[in-house]
Amino acid sequence: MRGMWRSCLSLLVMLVTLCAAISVQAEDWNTLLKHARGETVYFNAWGGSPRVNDYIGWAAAEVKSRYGINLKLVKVADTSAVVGRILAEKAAGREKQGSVDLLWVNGENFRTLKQNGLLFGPFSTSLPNYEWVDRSKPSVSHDFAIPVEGMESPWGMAQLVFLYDSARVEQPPHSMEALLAFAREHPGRVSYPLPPAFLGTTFLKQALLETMKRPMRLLQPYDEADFAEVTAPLWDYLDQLHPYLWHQGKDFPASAEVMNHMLDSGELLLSMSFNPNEASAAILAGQLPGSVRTYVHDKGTLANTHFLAIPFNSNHKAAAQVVANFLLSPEAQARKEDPSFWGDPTVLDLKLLSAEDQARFQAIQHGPATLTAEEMGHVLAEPHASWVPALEQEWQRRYGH
Amino acid sequence: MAAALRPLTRRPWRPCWQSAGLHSLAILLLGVPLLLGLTGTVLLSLGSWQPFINSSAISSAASSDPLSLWQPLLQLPALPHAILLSLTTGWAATLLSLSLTLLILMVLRSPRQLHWLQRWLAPILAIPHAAMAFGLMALLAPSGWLLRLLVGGRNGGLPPDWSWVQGSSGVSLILALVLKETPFLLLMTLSALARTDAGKRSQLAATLGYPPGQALLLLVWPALYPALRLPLLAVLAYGLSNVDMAAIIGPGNPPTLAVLIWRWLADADVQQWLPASAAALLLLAMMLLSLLVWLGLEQGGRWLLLRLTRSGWRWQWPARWHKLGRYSASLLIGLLVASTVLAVLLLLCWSFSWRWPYPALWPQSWTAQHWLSLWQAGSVLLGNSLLLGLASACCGLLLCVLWLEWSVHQQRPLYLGIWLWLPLLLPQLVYAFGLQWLLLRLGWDGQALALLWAHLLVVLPYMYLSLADSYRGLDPRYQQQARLLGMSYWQALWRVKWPILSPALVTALAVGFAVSNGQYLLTLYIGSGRFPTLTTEAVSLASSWDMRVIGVYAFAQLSLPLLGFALALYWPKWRYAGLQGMQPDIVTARHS
Repeated sequence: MRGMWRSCLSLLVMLVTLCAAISVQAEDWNTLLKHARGETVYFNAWGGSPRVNDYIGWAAAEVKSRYGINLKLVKVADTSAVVGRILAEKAAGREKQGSVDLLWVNGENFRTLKQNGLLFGPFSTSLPNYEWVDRSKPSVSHDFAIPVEGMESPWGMAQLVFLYDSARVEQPPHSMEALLAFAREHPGRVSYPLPPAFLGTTFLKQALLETMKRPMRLLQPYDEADFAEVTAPLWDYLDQLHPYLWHQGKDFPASAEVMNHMLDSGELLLSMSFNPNEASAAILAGQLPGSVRTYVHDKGTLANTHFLAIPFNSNHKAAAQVVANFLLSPEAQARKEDPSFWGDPTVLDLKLLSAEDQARFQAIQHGPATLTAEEMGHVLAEPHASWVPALEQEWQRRYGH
Repeated sequence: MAAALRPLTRRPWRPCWQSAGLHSLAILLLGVPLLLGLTGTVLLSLGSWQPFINSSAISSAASSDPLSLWQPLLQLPALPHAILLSLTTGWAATLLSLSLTLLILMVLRSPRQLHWLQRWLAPILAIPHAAMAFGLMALLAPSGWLLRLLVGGRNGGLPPDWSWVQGSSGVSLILALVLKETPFLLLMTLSALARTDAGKRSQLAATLGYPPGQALLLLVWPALYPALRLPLLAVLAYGLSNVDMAAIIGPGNPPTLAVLIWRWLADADVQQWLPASAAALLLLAMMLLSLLVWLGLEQGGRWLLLRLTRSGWRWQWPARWHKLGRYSASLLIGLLVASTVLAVLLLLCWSFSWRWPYPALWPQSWTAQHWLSLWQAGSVLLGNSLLLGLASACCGLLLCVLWLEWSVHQQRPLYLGIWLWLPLLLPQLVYAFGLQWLLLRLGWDGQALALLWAHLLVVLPYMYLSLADSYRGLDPRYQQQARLLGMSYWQALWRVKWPILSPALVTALAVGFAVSNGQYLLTLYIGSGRFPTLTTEAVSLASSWDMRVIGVYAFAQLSLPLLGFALALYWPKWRYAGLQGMQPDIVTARHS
């Protein structure tokens, strides 16, 4: 009975907020636009990809001409450093004049920001362009199993894909089991990024999900009590795999970017990416040979969404929201998905768009290395973010020396 | 009353007050930020920041026992190995660089060769550390140019699975450090040679029947060493604590201690900052211990050299051996020079390539696109690098000249030692984070002036180091003569002393400019990322591992300091052509 009351109440609250949001939205947005004019937005983002930087450069020119906003990209080598800075600002009692206005973020970094009350919001669901967002995707509402609750605005979709050079490998392995056989056949030519590199940890989670019996357990927070039992299949698998890896599994490439570089030279035969269009885009940019293709595992691969967040102490929240809204527009999202610019999959639901906007997406040439939606297959949800430190520490203990 | 007393009190008191003022200036500029940064790190390592980190694990652990926060670090299985790696790579690189420097001095003896050497050292110094590491990767990695040349299409067109580069031994890191540090030590030795009576000493040694090599070691080296001690310690400190080279070409699993700290600080999990700051203190302890050991070795070396000298023993090697030694040393030097030059050329090739697959020796297709994209984005970066570099070098020069001129004029030394040493010897990892926190508190972060201050912190010691000896060593009679001919104190400085010293002054400017240009951590932390420079851009793009873009930025990054060194070399020659005879010349001093 109490449960029913509670759900009724929460429904009521939701309805009221929704109505309020709709009525307030239109006029609010116009005042927001007025406030935003002339403001400067410092957008902190990982700057390791010239393609991404060029895309943001385009967006900066657009928001300047449309809304009079100066978008300044602050390229960082690591998003966590920015999270650290925001945390330090909070520690120093700086409630205004924060150094960051907009931040490209997801997963563990989002968890840190949200846990420590470092975010402005909720704001994303009231952005006008949010109505096109594909809300059926679980990762849009739960970022690594952490409720988003409007504290960050979705920007792009990611699904783990593996890369191989079809000129060197005929049949890539479509499961963790097949990967073990493949590594036995090609000793020293397979590896994964060194955890806690983002894709290294992802590989651990993917391997765990494929080898364990009850994958649903990972959606619940980590618990020390059953950690050993839950993760035992993963360590068994890695114990078997490591002797056949690059440098006998004693050493690992520093990141997925390094692995792509090694795939190009042939030092490795397989690589990984969270962007299904990465291979096509890298071929277009001359980073990888034209014969590179992608594949996924039969049991499905991990998928997540990356977001834009606004820190609590940003002085230009209006302009930051306008920028986030622009980046969510069908026009900006379509350009982003085009591998000749960036190649990052959209978060929008194409069915909701106008015919004209749908045509923008249909016109995109995805390139030969990108899989079709059907080929991308099954999607695995990201485990709860609390598993990450535990997995990384146990990996350190076993293989980190 | 006060006005009446001033003429009386002025004389005895002024130097004292001035000295106090100059000292407090140094302490304020260098000491305060360093010590506060360090304090921040200590506090963090003890969990004292826990009110700001909303994590129950940390606060509960910290409230019971602050030292319990060190437990996760000390229990880390990779820790002993990481410490050992830091120690072996740092020490091996320093000792090897020192031996190579001595070897090169023994082998290259004609003035022409030394002139040539000196001219080529500055450009090598201008190569950024990270760029050198990437260049060496392009040369030595299993898919690198050397193995393409040697192994080529064998092995089914795949590069061999060798693990010596980035391998757990750290050999490649040692090599990279040696290649980068030997030129620095050599340049320092060459400028020290000019200021000692090395020429007389080697003549004396020759008349006493010592062969040249032994003469250098027994008679010239002891005179040189005091000028080289600080550079050597700086090399050792860099070797033990560097991140930029070790993260690229060093071992990865486990990495060196500094890289381990770096990774923790970059971890999304805030709890990792605690072991990171604890490890930073461990690194500091390791460095202090290493410095003590070095000073101990110094005593041992002195004792050994004295015994050797007293024994009167002469190296009587057959001429054939001599020749052999000379040849093999030349070969070694040639190899080092060749690998440096090749590494740089390979980066240049990569920057113009479109596709360069293994095992091709030359790029398959060429493009200027990467350079064009730099051209589009580069003006802001270039402007920031230039302004910051010029501003910090000029401020640095002003302060250095102020300190030096005062101590020369008052004929009393200014003991700035510890404050100047600290920024050189403290790894930035240890204090940068704490310093950022301090500036945040003051609301000064992201301000151009704060950034300038932070740059000054690292720029000053290097400038002082490069200027001090020539400034103090100038024959005072030039100035006295100018005063006798009726010039005022300032006129004598402006029209005689400083023009004569112009090569040293401009070189110090170039050094400061180059050091400022190379700063990554401080520029990012203190500038809140709002002052992108060529270096911050290069480092963030380096994570793409796109060798073509890395090549472009390496050259962009190297061009500014190079320009600075070139100007430093040629401008005084052109502007003050008439004063050249008064400037001590390195080569003639060595061989007169």
